[in-house]
Amino acid sequence: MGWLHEWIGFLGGLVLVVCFTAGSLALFDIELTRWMQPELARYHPAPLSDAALDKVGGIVAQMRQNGRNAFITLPTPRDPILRVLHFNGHAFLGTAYSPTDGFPVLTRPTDGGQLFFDLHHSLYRGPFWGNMVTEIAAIGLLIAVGSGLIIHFRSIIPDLLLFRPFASRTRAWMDAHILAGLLFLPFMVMMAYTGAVIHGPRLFPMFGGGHHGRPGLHRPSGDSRATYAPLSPMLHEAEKIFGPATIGLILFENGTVSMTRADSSSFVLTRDHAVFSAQDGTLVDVVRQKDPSRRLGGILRGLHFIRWAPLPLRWLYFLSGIAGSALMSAGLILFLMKHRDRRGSRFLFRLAETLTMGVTTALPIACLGYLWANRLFWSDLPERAHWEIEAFFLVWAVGLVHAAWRSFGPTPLRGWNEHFVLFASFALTVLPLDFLTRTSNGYLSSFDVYKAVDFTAFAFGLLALFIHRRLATS
Amino acid sequence: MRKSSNNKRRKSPVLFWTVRLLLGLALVYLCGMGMLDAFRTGHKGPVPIAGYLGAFAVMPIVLLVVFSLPALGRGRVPALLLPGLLPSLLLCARIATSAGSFLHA
Repeated sequence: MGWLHEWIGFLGGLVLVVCFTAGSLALFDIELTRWMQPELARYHPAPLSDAALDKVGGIVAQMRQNGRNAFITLPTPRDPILRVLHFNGHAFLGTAYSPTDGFPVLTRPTDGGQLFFDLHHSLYRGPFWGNMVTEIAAIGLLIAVGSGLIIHFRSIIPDLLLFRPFASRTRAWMDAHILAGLLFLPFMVMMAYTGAVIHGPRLFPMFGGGHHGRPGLHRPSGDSRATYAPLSPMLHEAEKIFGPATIGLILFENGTVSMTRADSSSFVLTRDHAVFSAQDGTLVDVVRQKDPSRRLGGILRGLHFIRWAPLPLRWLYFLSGIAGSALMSAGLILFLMKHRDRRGSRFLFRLAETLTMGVTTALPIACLGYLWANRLFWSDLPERAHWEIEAFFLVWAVGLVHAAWRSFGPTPLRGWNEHFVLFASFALTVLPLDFLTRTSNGYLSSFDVYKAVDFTAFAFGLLALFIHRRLATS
Repeated sequence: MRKSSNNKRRKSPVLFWTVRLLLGLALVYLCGMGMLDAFRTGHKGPVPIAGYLGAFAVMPIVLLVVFSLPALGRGRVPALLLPGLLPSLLLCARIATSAGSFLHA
């Protein structure tokens, strides 16, 4: 069982660290998108007006007539702005509009936090192969958790009480690995299981039941009308059906308008919707998911995506996800520690160390590089969103090359230390970067999403600095 | 004593565990398919979500069972195959039924 835990844990861990790190960040995808659009800092939340919605409806009609498959997201407490979005194959991009008058708010184009969402569920490698790999990794996690439990079954209670951070390095990592594994066991099992079931059809394509490939840019909108009936009466009628302030999405298809419940409106993610005729705005149908098996699917999605959750629970998920990532990183490091003495000079060991550094330290550096690129690239750069993504992968690739250079050289441990220094310097300077590249009134008078990102990065920077000091002195 | 430790060293467990892992993964996938197939048709129509719930619960358990089994000796029952027997039978039955109905049509 030890062999199974070690190898499944290592091979799966390389993918799972990426999934957990990106998934933890994806929990705050909307907030990160807002941070990456600093122009919205000057915008004050306001209620949605009927005139603004009808005006934006006209814009969507024109976009759809031009073949762009656009839809509307309504303002929510997390994102108090009206947005017209379309899918570009990886993320939902679009323009922000003021909910008061429907005028566009000039924001820089960016994939924002949705990069992490895509990275989490498909490693940015598309819906088929990417999802397939993450599915297999999820099953690997369940196997590693099961085998780990069997290995440590007799000493679960003592392990829960034991953490020796200042003991020998191997002992400290092992304690951290076991403690995190036991404390966050329910969270990790739940996330792996629900994630695997949600994307289950990818692993069993012969059983159908799931779409295999996203339409992306070239999906025709299937709509030739230049105008729609006013959207605001449809919204009011839908709110009478589903309850006030429950509608989050307005989708358009084949001459109909669907007023769809927001994912945040209930625990069960069912996407109930009211269908209206786009021509005259009459109610055509009300679709509610009452089928128990479909509602079960909604419960699993609700548990995994937690779009319904209040902020404290979202933070709990975030911290649990980061703890899961740390647990797997500790596992990868233990694997290297175990084999370093006997196989340290072999090519495969050095490759394993390179890949481990690539996912544990280079990936977080790339995430920070993405934030930096967002603020340093000028706003009207052509294909700006694309270049931000390129910057993310470029920083990650450079981190990986540096890891390979150190791992295949005589001083592999220096590579770890240098990555931590780099991460700490990037993270600690996010706060001044935000301060210098964002214009806002009353920077010190309120706590908003921008400062939350700044201070979280700062906290992780301090942690990286602490680890760097430990590595330097040991 | 010397001979015994030499023998022990010669029998590299890596190959043995790797073969067991690969066979186990094949068995796991087969079990998943069997479980999905079992829930493909319920008495009130298909219930794929139950199939997926069952499949992803069974798959890791089967691999853990495979790795818990003792090594096979010469002439012993291939216990490695037992956990996959039921889903495999279900799958075979399903394929046979589909083939039969196709030929009948």
